Amino acid sequence: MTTAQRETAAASATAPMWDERTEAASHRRRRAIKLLRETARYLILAIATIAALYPVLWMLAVAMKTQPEYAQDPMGLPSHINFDNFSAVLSNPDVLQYFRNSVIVVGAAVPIVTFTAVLAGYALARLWGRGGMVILFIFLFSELVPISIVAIPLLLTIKQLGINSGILRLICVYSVLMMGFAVLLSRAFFRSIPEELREAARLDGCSEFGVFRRIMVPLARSPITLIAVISFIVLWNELFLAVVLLDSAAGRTLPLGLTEFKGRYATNWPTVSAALLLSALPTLILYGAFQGRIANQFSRSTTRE
Amino acid sequence: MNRVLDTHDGARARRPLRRPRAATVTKIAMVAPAMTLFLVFYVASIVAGIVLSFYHWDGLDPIRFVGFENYRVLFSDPVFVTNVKVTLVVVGACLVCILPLALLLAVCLSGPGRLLPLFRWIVFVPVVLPLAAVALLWAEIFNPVGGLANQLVGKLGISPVAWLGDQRVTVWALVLVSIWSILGLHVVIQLSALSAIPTELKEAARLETPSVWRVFRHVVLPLMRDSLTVSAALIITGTFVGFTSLAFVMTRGGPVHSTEVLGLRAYLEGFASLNFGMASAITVITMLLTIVLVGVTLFIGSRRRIEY
Amino acid sequence: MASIRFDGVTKRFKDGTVAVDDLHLDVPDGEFIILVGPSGCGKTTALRMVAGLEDVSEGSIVLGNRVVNEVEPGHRDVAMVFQNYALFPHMTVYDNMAFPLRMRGVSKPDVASGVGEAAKLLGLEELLRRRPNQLSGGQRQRVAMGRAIVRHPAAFLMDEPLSNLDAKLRTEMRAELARLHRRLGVTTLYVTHDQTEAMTLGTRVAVMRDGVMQQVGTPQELYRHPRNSFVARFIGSPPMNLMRGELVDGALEIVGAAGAVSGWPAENRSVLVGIRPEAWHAGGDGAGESVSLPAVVEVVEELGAETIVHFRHQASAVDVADANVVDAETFVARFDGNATVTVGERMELSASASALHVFDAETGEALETTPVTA
Repeated sequence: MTTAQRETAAASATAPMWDERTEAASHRRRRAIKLLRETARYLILAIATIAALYPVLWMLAVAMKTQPEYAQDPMGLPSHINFDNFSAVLSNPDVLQYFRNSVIVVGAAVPIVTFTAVLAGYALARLWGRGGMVILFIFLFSELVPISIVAIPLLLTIKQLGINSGILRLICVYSVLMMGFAVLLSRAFFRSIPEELREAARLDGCSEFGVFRRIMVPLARSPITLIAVISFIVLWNELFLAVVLLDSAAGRTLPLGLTEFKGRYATNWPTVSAALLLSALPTLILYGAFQGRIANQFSRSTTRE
Repeated sequence: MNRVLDTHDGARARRPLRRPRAATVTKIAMVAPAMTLFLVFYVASIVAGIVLSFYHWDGLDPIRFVGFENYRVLFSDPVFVTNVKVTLVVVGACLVCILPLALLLAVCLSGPGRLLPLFRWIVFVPVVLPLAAVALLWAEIFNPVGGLANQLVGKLGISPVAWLGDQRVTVWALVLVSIWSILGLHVVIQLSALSAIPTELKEAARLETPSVWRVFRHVVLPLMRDSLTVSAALIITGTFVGFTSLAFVMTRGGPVHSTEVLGLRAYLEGFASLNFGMASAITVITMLLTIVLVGVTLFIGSRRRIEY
Repeated sequence: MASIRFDGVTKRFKDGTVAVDDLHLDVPDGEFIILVGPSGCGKTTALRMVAGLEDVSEGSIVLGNRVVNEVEPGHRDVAMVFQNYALFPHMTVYDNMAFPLRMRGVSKPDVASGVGEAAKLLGLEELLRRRPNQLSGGQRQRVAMGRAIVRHPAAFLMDEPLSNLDAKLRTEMRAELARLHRRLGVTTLYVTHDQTEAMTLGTRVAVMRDGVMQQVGTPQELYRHPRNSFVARFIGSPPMNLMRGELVDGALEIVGAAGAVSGWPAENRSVLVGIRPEAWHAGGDGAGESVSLPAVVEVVEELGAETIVHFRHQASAVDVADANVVDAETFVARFDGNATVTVGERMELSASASALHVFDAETGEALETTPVTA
């Protein structure tokens, strides 16, 4: 640094650029801007809240009206809290059938996915080397091109395989639907566990599978829960594949059944509304219960591994 | 763990100890269930789709090989051109709307604040609703007679709109529904990437400039590139599927094919016309389109900046 | 260049904790002053208040001749080196160092020369095109320093910049920092928890504890004349031995030791007596007033240039539960490297009266320093 430069730097630093008054003024201005920013933020959030919740709350309000009430005043609040529509839906045998089907399908697919994905995820994380890259690529590919895109060929393949039960079809396909995500998540988790644990266990004479069973699985409670919950939510709500793969009324799951329901009760929106809300209830409850965890999961997959 | 082998060829004096058989068996056994399911249902379907696209099959006539016939028919079909256009427009619109909005909301939702967790919860609610419920809900909102949308619009003094009946408007109505139903997901993705930025970096930047915007532009945004890329890729794949479901329930592709995306066209070809060969061809094209779009997205997202 | 002054500065957090309590400190222009203390003592908070990254609850921070409490960090003309360097991972070394200049709208050629100068000063010319994740810890540290000096700020703020480096690198960088300060002469406020760093780097050192400043002075002052027992134990390694004693009518006696020392104020109170490890010598030689005690050798650390010996009071070697002797009954002595000491050996340790530091047993405050000139 030349003396000249040092001098100019020193000069500009000590020269009184700020006097008390202008400094105070700029502080006031800055504080005003900060306040404005905070207000803007809450304004945006308020708008977002209304946009997100209003349709849902509206559905709730509507579900508690009777049809004539709704026809008269679609937008207002119900005159009194009326659960008739809800009980009508719950006592409808078709709806119960749809519900039962959904429970069976999702109830089977979720454990299948979780179980197989955790197995495969660990193997890919620690037991496979170069060859594992190929397998991993296949799972990654399935995230790019979800199975829903190849729905028609899928249906044809399934028919060729002779799987005729709608429920069975969905169980198999739903498992595949979530598999990519689950395997990638599982692998990422197991890679974050230090190799030393495995090495120590092996030195003690444990087999590879033993390491998995005794040490890794108990540690993996968090990703297992995550996989199960997210899979449940996604699969419970799944519509497209159900549409394509089910060609008989027998296997209809809840989302699909609801579209039928609507057809029949076309003019009774309050009832349909009640049905929709009830169908969303399981996922809403699950979401509420695991909300914190879901947010955390994304923090692990988006930061560079 | 090397063993010195007693060979005359000195160059091969060392060979790594072979992994015991059990480990190989174990690792194969562990991926077997997942891979089996995958191969049987996923890989087989893709292969079947590709193969079938070169055949003609409608369930009645015997199946026969037709080469690129299906593709030729498609490319000269004006409706198909519309399908592709609609698909691209929908994906593009979703990308353009969701990414900035998600980023904006993520910024608003970041930081300490007692009310914020509540808002974060609220924003994600539409994402967990069943798509069927979403579709039917909005179908009713857009109901030309007495639907919420026209009620609101009426209060603003505009004449009722045929949201789902007017071919100029319907596509955008459905795009709105799409955005509404997945925005929350992307907000969460961006939010966690945002929170992962060390505070020290922002502080170091603050020491150099008082402008919040500049700190955001030069320090925060570049570090969000990965998460934005992930979001973009997910939007592309998600819209291909999700929009198809919405259109299926709400408009069946109408009016006049204005909401008929590729996925829906494939469905119609397969179920309505029973033209499985054609449906497969459409599926193949859809697959290729997805791969290209996502590939481009990932490429853009990973390119290193050379100059500041 | 500017001076830094803390004027009755207090920092109170939302949950009520007082991180900094009524801090008064004057740092003249060009001084390299170190804030040292155990974790949580408030030193980093104080530093951050100067930077503007924390608000001031009470009092004012004065840079040069202006009060900067309300001034944005970007307008204070101070530069900071963070503990984890805070280098922008998506920018090259060049861009990292150019950032401050670019944010101030400096023209491109000036940016280039500014960065070039700083790079030359720190030996970074070869690394300009690299990214932080391709650099070693020491290199990153230097880039962080480069970013700080590139705009010739009025003051440097450093938050434990060396604590993430390995021991050898730390010693090198300490010398480097000292060299830089001599060359640039910029006022520097440096925070560390390592008392060795504090003693070797600073013109002056301020010891803090629980938000309160204990003592400020040159390293020698703190070492020779600690104002309370905390500073006495904190500065110096191995730490000063503290033993319980009684002041009876001006005569000082140490529990468990022989020999009373006179010349202290005529009072009666319980005290803590401090003896630095190097003040002990073997054998009860009686050159002038001294105290001595019987001890048994427990651990011998031979370091070559010196030998550190850990002793246990002989009495307690037998009766472990002897609660009369302070410090878990061990004391440390520093002997010359040629001394031969064996574990289990018994010897008489003595220290002359002039080497004793006396502190009130309750408040820890130093009593009038030894009557004989130190």
